[in-house]
Amino acid sequence: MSERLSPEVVAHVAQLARLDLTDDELALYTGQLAAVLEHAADVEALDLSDVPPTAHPLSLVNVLRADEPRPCLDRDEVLAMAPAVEDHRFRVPRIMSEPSADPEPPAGVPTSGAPGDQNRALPLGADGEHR
Amino acid sequence: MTTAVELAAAVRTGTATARQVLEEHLGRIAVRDGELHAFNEVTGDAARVAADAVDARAGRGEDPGPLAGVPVALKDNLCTRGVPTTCSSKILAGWKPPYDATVVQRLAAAGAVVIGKTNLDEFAMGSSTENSAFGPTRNPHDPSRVPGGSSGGSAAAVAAGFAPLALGSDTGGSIRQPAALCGVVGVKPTYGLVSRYGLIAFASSLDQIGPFAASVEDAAVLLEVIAGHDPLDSTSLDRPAPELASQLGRGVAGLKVGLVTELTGEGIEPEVAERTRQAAAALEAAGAVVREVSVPSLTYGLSAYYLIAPAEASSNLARYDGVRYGLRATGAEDITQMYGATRAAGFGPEVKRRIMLGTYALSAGYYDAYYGKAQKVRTLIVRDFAAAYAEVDVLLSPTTPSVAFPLGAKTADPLSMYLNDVCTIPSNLAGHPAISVPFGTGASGLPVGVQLMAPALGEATMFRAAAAVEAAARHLTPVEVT
Repeated sequence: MSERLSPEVVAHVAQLARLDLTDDELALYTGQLAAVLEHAADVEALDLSDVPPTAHPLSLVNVLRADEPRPCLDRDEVLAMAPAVEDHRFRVPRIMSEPSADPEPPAGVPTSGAPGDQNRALPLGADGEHR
Repeated sequence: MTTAVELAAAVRTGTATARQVLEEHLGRIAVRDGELHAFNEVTGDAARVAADAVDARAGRGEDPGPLAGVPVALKDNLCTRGVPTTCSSKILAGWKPPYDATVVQRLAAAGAVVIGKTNLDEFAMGSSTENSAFGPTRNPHDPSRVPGGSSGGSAAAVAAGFAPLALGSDTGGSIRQPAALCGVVGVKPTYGLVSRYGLIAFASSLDQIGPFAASVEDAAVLLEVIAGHDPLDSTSLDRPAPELASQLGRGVAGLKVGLVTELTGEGIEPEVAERTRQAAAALEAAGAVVREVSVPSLTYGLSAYYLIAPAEASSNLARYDGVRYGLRATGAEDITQMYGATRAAGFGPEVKRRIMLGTYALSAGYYDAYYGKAQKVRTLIVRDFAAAYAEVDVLLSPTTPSVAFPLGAKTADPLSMYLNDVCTIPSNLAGHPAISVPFGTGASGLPVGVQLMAPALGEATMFRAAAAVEAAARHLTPVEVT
């Protein structure tokens, strides 16, 4: 399987993981990942077509609670730890790719979702290539 | 050395104060932690306030709790409100959590005094604590050697007498392996027994918080304090905390113990294998029935783990993106550039390696061959354990293939480092409890640990066997390796 692990594949994986790697890092990880996958060849060689997968040690069921208001994290305390804040929200560089010389959004323009809207900030997950 | 149980008794009955106990431990830290680097941060001032509060309660005739005045060191991936929690990563440097982990709240309620945050391999990824962004921790028994990892700071803190108790997290052996290498007791509880709320996630289906202690009894008392259902962790088991310490004296007469064939042969250093056989003989002498048991699929555990854990990590660590907390790279023109530059600057080499491995194992075209296959191997391991536990009550193996190795010995070859976890990984994959108990030293004079494993929620039986091994260890002679 490791013949698939070309530097191009590793560079693509780095892009999926939102990791800017140097050329030296790419070369290093191409070799090291191949060695780990080589070791996993014992698993790859097993015929497990009749074996169901185990994703978790517990038989997970939905855990529900009453939908009642309750105290949550203090908003100011949370925002105090953010790299950039504006208008009680997390401030980020622009998210659309239209050409602009301004590296940060104009003041007062909300560019990210509400603080609870975490998915929009995740670097992974929007890629169709992930499962 | 005074045990945690003895210290708590002294504070509860007024023969010692929590403040005296704390100052004694802070003094030891001041003398030797410059050399060992067990702590990322010693929280002396906050600890003095907490200790004085315990003494005030005792002075009013109240009971401050089962860990009254006992200093506890916390692995620096456990959230402490207002106190920096770094995971030994530059990406979280300076971050102060807005909440306490559930285990931190339970420690405070039991009268324990948090003395500081301990060093770890960055985001708990490693087996030597050399992957810390803040420099390695050294083994108190030989500072030229590693303490193990990833909870190396917690293990070294207990071994050096900096704290009688510590907490770590164990994803593939990160409590038991450093406990073995530092000559202390380390416990990975049943998955779900201890709340993970406030434990910064590495691999969520494998992570579990557990105790370090200098004795089996101390570890049992600490686990009793931190165990139990927590509505804030949806994988927390809805059952009461087990009674462990009161069961230790029951002995092992008639207990069925299986020595694991696959974990005592090839790849295990002779001095460690010899000590493991001696532990089996000691259990037999104490009345247990010992036999060899084969658990064939354990040999695939390492490969499965190094696909599953990085896959979960690559997902969990997606949150470090420079948006809500921690480091943000400056100068990026858009958010995608900011993500890539922040993560490149904030993560160390091992974390990047695992994110890459996990992203690869989850990506289209490779998912079935790697991640899917590894999850099926997990099923095989669960089945083989079930077959073994139909025959025996607990399983015995070495905790690690070797004693502590020199700093730098394995850093250039990640795979050789990963092989340290071969004995400890299976219990994480199955969600079972396991404990490492010190059992003498090897030919080099360095500590050896043996591991006892039990089926889910088999802690009480596991601790009884551990107490018997601990008792036998007091009468050991130096190992003879032939």
